[in-house]
Amino acid sequence: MNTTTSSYQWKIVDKKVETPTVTSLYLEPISEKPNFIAGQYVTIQIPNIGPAEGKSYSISNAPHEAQLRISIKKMGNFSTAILNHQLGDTIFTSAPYGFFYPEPIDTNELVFVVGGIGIAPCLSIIKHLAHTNNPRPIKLFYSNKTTVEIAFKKELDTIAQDHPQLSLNYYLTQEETVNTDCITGRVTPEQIVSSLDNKAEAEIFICGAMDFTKSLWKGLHNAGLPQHQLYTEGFF
Amino acid sequence: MPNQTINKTIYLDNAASTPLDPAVFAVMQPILQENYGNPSSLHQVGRKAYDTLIAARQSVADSLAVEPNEIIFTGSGTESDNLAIIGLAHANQSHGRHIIVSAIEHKAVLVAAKQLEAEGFTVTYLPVDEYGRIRIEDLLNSLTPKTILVSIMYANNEIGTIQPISLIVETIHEHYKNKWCPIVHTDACQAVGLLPVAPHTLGVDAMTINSAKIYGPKGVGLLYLKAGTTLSPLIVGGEQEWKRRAGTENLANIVGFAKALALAVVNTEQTATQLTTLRDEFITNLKTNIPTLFLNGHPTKRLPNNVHICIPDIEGESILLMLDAHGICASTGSACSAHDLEPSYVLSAIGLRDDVIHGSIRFSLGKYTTEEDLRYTVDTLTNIYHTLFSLSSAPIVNKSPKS
Amino acid sequence: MTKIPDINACHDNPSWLYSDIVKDHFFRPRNVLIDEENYQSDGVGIVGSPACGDMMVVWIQVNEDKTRIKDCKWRTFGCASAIASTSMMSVMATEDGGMLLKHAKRLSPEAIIERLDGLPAQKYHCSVLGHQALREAIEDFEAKPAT
Repeated sequence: MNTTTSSYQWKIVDKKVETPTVTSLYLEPISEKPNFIAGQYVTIQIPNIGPAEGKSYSISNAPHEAQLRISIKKMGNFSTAILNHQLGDTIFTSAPYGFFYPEPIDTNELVFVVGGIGIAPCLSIIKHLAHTNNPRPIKLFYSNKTTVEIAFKKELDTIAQDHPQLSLNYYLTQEETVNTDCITGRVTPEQIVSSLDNKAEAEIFICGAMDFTKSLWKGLHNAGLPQHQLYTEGFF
Repeated sequence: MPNQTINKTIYLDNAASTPLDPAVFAVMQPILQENYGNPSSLHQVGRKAYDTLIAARQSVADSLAVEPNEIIFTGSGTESDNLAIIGLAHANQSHGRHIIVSAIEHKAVLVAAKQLEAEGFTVTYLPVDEYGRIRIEDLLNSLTPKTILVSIMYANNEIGTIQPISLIVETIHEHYKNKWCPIVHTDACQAVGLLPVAPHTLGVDAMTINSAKIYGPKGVGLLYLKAGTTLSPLIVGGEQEWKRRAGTENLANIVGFAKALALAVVNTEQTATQLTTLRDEFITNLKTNIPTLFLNGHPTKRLPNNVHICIPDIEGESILLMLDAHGICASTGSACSAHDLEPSYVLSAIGLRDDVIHGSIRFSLGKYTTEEDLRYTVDTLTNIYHTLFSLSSAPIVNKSPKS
Repeated sequence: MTKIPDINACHDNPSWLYSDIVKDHFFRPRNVLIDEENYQSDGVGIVGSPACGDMMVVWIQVNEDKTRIKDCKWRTFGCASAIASTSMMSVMATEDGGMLLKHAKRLSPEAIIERLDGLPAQKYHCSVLGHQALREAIEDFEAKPAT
């Protein structure tokens, strides 16, 4: 059963500013490190701030890595309170939870369609698949407003260099692109579908804000992809 | 699921808003249609409006046994509360910058207080007991030489608990004896027509009343302010209300409000008795039919019209929608029904757990509520309880050793 | 799916919140488990908590060759959106001979919401819970040793 009690204790050992709005916290376990599946999230409760049951943040690095990384977008009081923690501070989280991960035995094309900080669980999955040398073809369609807001671009580019089965497509919705590796405009279902090697077999994971996941799910569904080939993690 | 057998609407949300009394509508109509002047204009049309305004204000003053120039008409209870908190704090800050409110005040008071905090004022939020009453010792312990304003609502809109206003006033006056005394304000919006509200009886320096809760029109309220109290206006740019609240007067609303207030005050005792009887029988019948439910707020020091309950194992929004399907209108403190998904802070303040707050329902009776309405409501709510209970996972999870 | 309310139609039992389909699944929910003591389930999932305002228990039965959902029952503590979400989820999981387990794992909130003809934005989490409850039940089934 999903539990949101704060059962795991961590020490913040590093803080990294990824973009003007996103900062990562690197956590070292004080108690035992819980196992997790790439794509899962942890829930953080802060007394007197935000909902009593806390808010959930996807783990943005992979299970084989020593520290746990959560990447927080500054949006309001709750995220601000988390980011106000300093190096050496203790933070409590729930056990990792969630179902946003591919089946280990699948070999069909895996497509990630990501809006903004939705990259977090997808990056975790990509890093895990790369680390385990999984040959599964992966396509990432990653949408942000501007170049400076593309969190983890270097990390993704590096993985893609070493793993040709990963192909990257960066979209910028509010900037004329100067990089040749970015595309100006919104990612559309048609573009995604036309990129697929095999439309009947591809699996598409959509992750981002609720409106983003809703509109892309609908668009892809209307473009002929059946419901079981689409999966979502909408942030709310 | 029982079919709707009564075609009328059974309105049990009078704490949120009330229907317009036909007598109030009757006095408003000619104003809307014929008395269109601006009371500040010199010509005959303006003077007619002015005379009407004076008469309405005098009527309100008579109803409250105060002077006409102690009445400031505003656009709502919220505006009156804002004016009281912010206007009195700003005007009197030479005496200090500390304010005291209760933790269960209406948002119009709490958010205004928060705004003052951002400006550098300090605010004490007095906790309440499990019935929603403040403790006099807590009040005494928070009074300081820099306290300039104390605002405690007369009766709480959610759980109906009545605060000991006279005792609060006495305590404060006694504490400050010959020194400058903080201003005492009370939001009496829910109490008018059900409890005695004459400011001199209570001893308060300022009082908020709104028309929408007493069968008057929406969009008008008042702040009673004892003569000689300094106030900084919030809405500026006109001479109206002795420069305390600018804006061309909404005459029809003010006239309607005056009539509603007169009716409310005159009928207070009778209405209170009538509703207390209906309320108590309703509570007894509810408890008999749904033994797990419990009442919130003080058992006796509560508004004659307020029935606030929690029903374990089922959720408030779903209860409300089923009631609504049967013509019954009520409200809930459940987070699921709020636009901001926050559970009721009043229910949290009286110590209720989040899970029971989700099963909270408020029924607020009114002068048009009948015994038959309430019998039907008991029957319907009982059916709803059984229906939702049979759908609910709560009884299962509560039974199981692992959860 | 938000409809712009017609202010002249307000007297006609205005539903500012919910589509007709949601109302239907709320007032006439499908697949509610009445007698949980005597139900032989192959997997059970529990999500949420009363403190959060939504809690769902979902029971599934799978078919002979353990590939499809044969039956899906539930109980929900929560608002109309939560009840309708679990009801619709159970219908989707069992219609047309029952969903393949593989497909049922991908029964997203968006799919449930589309069949409900929309949910208010602040109720999105209700359909997320509906999805997670089914996943939990499937996971419970898959964790059992093969007999």
